[in-house]
Amino acid sequence: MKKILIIALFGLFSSTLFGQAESMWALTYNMSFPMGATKDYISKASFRGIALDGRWFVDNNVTLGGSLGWNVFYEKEDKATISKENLTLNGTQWKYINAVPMYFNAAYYLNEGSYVRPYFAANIGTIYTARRTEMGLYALTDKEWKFAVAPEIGVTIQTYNSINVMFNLRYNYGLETQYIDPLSYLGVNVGILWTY
Amino acid sequence: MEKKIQLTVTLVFMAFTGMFLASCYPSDSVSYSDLDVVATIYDESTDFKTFKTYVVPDTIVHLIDTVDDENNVDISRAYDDQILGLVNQNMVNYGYVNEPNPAENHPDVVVTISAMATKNTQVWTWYPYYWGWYWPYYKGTDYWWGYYPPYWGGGTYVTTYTTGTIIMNMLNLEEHGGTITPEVDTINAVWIGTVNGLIGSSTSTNISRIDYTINQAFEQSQYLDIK
Repeated sequence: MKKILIIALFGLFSSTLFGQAESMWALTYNMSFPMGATKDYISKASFRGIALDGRWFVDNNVTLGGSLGWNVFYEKEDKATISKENLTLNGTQWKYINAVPMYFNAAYYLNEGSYVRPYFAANIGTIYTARRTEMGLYALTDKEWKFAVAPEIGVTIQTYNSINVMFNLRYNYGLETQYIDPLSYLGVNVGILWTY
Repeated sequence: MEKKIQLTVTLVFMAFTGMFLASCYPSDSVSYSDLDVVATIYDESTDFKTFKTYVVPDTIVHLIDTVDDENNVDISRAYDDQILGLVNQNMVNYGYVNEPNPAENHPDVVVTISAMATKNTQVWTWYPYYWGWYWPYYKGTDYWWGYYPPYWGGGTYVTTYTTGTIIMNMLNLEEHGGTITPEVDTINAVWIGTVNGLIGSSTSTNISRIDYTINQAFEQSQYLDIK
């Protein structure tokens, strides 16, 4: 409740923040939580991720821009057994997904003129996906470009000394391709923001 | 002052994220047994329940590379009894009966065991390289601030490792009715189990790895069970 009050006060007594800005750039640290088929392959959350967002204001509440990110998923599975038709393999597996999302982005911001501006956004583009399974002395790698969409909600916050912060939740979904199942993960992203 | 704080925050943030992005393929420590792989394959048209008797020849055949002799590695026979014992035990556990006199009473299946070891050499070379940029830079009130990444020299790194493979081959003699003409008949393999990994020097580790992998080959081949 106290936190809500503080945020509300920020909103009430805020002066202009991004109203006059023409563009903003955000560098975020990404934590990613696999879902669906991605979770079936790697269940562990990823704490290796980064993204750079650039957004241009087309009016005080709307930006258009793009995003480039990198998320690394990794899991070791001891002595796993996999079968296909009449072949069975057993061994320790190291499984990796390197996902590089590249999106066009459109966002709409609430609370014009406030220090705290929640927003919602849509991302559309591609995720370059490299999936690698190592077993014993062997490795199987698939690399594919996936058509992808990513709905997003977030908030931009101006703090002391013009250190601006961005926090967002972005659900990334890359369509199934020939060799790799659909890519599905929720990104929890926090970072710093510059306005120009 | 404000810009300096912004820069500091930016650098700290980037260093923080950089720590988590050390590589595309992170990994934990790897033991010898981590690299062992057991692979089994069987003939789907075979009904294993028609088999009853078996024999395992008492010698493990060592296979060698006849094309490139330099790759061959002498294989120890210190583990032969252990391997033969494990295969026999697993066959008995699945209900097969050892044929004590195979010369006169041909068994239904023969499980041959062979082994091979190969030396592998990898050479890694990299060239002298300089990133050629300094980054990030910032013009403060009275100074330029910059960071120059270090210069890396070139070099060559050679690594050698030896891999070993144990191959178990179950051959169907039953379909020949006990009489085989080697020049004419083709003896079909109905099950192949292989164990592959790095050859290590620790006897106790090797014993436990052989135990696990041979047993695992049978464990993951439940269709062999004729009980």
